[in-house]
Amino acid sequence: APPSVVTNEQRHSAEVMFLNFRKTKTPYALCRHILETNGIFINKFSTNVVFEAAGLLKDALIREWSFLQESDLISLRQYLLQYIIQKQLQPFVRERILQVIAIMVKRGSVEDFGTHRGQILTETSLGLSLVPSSQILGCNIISALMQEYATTVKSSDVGLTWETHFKAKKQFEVTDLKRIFQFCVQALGELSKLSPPYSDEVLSLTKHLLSIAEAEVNGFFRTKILSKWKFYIVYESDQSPALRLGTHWKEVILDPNVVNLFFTIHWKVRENPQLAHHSLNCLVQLASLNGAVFASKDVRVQYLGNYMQGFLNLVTSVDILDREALGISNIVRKLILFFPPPLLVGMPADLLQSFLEQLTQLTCRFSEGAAQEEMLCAEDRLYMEAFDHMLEAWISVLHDSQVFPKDFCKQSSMQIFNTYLKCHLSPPDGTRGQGRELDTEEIDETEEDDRTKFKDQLQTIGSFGRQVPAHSLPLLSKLLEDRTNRLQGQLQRMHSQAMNISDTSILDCLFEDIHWLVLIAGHVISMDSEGETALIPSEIMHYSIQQASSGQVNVETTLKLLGSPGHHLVDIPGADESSDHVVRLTAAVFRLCEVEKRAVEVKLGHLLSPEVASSIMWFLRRWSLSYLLPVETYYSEMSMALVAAFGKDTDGATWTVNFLLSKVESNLCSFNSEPGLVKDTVRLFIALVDMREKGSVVLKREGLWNMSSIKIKNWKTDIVEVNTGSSLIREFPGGPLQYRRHFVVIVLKPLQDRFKNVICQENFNRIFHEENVKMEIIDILESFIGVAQGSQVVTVHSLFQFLYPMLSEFATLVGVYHNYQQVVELILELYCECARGMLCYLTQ
Amino acid sequence: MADIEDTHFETGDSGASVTYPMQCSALRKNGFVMLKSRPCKIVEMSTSKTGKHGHAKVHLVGIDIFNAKKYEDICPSTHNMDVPFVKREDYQLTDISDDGYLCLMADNGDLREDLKVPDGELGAQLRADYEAGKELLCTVLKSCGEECVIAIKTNTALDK
Repeated sequence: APPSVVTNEQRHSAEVMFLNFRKTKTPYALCRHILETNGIFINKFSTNVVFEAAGLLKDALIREWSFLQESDLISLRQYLLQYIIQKQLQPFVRERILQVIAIMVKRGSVEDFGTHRGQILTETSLGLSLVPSSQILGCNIISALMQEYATTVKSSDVGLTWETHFKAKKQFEVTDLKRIFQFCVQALGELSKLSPPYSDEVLSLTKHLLSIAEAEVNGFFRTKILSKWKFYIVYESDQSPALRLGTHWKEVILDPNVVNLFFTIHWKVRENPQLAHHSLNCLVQLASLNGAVFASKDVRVQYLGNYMQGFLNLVTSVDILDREALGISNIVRKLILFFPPPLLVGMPADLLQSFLEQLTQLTCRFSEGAAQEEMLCAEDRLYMEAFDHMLEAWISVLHDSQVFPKDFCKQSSMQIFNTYLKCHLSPPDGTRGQGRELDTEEIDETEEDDRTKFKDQLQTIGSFGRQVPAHSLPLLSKLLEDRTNRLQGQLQRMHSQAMNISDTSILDCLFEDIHWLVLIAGHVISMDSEGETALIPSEIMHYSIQQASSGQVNVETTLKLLGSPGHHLVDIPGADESSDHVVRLTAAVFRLCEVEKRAVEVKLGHLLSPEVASSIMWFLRRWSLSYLLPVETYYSEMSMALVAAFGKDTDGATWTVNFLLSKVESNLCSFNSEPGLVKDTVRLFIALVDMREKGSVVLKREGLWNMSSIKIKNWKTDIVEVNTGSSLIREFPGGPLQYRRHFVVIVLKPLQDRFKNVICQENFNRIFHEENVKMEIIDILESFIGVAQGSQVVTVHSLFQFLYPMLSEFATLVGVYHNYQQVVELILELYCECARGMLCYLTQ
Repeated sequence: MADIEDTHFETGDSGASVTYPMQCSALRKNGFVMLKSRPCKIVEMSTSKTGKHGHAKVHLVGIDIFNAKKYEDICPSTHNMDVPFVKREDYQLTDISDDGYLCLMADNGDLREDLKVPDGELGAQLRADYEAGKELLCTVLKSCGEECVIAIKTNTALDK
């Protein structure tokens, strides 16, 4: 009651009374009395009292079980059962009393091995032919029982040990679970014969039955007893573990009518969100059926065939609702997971074909839905998740594509690839909307970029692209060439005229297109290779060779195309018809680099997109790992065009390396205010110098030495200093002696000289604090840290000899600069890096 | 972008520049920058951008080196910010005058008496330690025409 009616003391004393009440010992008669008297006039207060009484019963029973007489227990249980059947109770009260009954049954089953439970179940299912209301009650009883036996937080602590609880649960699973499932199936079967409109009772009963079925197929079969060690394993972590059944479930679950029934039920109730949720979950779990219940492969194939037919009937006869998408995608995912391609090929050919077609349609549909969600920044990413699940399923299919008939997946691959591309391009080529305020959103540095956020998607789309290279490579090339031309045109226009607002939105649109084209292209022609050797994907290599063998490739034209990034395609005769497609795509990205470079040269760098520039660096890095100076011994066959363009000792390779280096230079000089871009550019640079073969080409380059001295002067970001220092030094083992000496002369010696010049000044002790002196010291320190970090086993001795004399000087500097935190920290860091990277490797 | 060596900065006294320009992206945490015309130590630095294809902006949070007030600023990373010249020097405390001025001796023996005892806890600590007879070193922070004692240390060199 509200505070206006009841005082604080009264409330407090009421509270105390309740608490004491709950502690009453052997309250059985008392509770019965309360139930009895309050059952007559049911109002708000008596309901609560009954509730409390039930709670009290529960606690007392658990506490005093071992002391109670069996006859008393039986009579109490029967009384309670009658009570809830006869009286109209509030749901929460009924649930509480049911819980008490269930606890009694469970506790008793430990001793009687479930006989009483079996009796109750028999009685309940006898109510099958009665009115829905008693059937619902039956469902409630069953639910309460299942809840008690389940391993969830809802099941109460009935004073049993874990071990006993599991034993009881296992026993329940073995004896009665199947019966309950059969009961549900039978009841649902009856209901499915009804036609709409459905009464509330029917709906309610359906919900109850579905919930029980769902609970069965979902969570129950988790316990596994390794009897050898009496070890109980519970798979709590998996949200919905697979449906693993034993042989005794054969007649129940393998009857095709059972699966068909669930499909029918779902078809009937799918408009009702609550019911549809349960029915769909049941279907998802049925898709994951596995275990001893399948006696042979044939049986599995048979089950799959029946399920697949039901699935196809469903998806072809309805318009999938938004909230169904996730469930449908889960069905597909589980089907492919538990009935992988080697089993799928056992399907009748036309059934399999239809299945594949539907999979393709669904994937495309979800892809479009995901793009919509992304555009609207939707809260729930239903389609996005569904799309990801479909892609997961496709990975398995593509991976085992050799078991399918030739070209089985090609049509699907093309469709899905095209749809994805379309979703990410602006009209008229694509359907990318303008919903998000792309140009006004504030984006923090911690936000994930697209290439990370959509990595899994892009990887799979790349796989699709590689299934149909004759389609994807030219398509990507043409689109990229077109967008690059447009970009150039737009920039030229802005160069000669004044800029206005609409121009930037045109640019943004172009940038977004280019950004996605580069990302997709990068995933098609190369694969992620963390910790592995980066190779040209076999499908691409194979395609390039095939293109040449069918007479479509003119190597000379191809090389010309590659070497003219400043020219349009049309300026090179024959380029459109007879250049190798892989090289053409690469050249398209090079042309894009050229446009950027030129824009910077005419002071239009501020109009460019750092995001696009980063994507390009990302592309070039992974491209160069695989394609630039490939190691021919890794491949069983090589494409002539690729070898001619990028192979060892070719002019093409030298030209390419120089081209990439000058792009790196250009970026680092003009975009050093963009930390992300600088990082990506340096990563490309490291990729170029890191490999032995590439490194020697790099070292030959004149410009490199100029670049390294510029770097050491200009850049203030630690990562750049460190990386350039270390990457240059890594070249020691790769390069012949003359390069080593060259390196010392060009990079190390000047550092040493600068250092000497600074500290040997006469008035150093007075001017050390001056800004320019301090800056120089900091600069030198950072370069030395880079040297220390870049040392390797082969180079450590010579590098240490170089650093050592100066280290002791730095020790003195700590004292000189004791008031300047920045300098002291750097000196300490230098010592740390020397110790960590060098000391332990010294042998002399 | 201007090379550091090309920029003129004079460290003389009156009429000379007390700051020099530096590109925003070159600033670093724990470095110094002028915010709202006050010399500040950078305590937080983060980048963001407007729009997916926008250019980087730097968000700076700094603490005034003299009065510990907090200031913030956002600027495009290509812009130049003013960086104050900051000098820290240790002086030996020889005396505290009656009107609260410190008598400080530099390493070269020069005396100065133009700085007052600092406010707050530091000043109290200084007085207490001085009264207790400890040999004190005062660290004087100088920037943008302002000077004050920022820290005190007991002179361990003399104890030996």
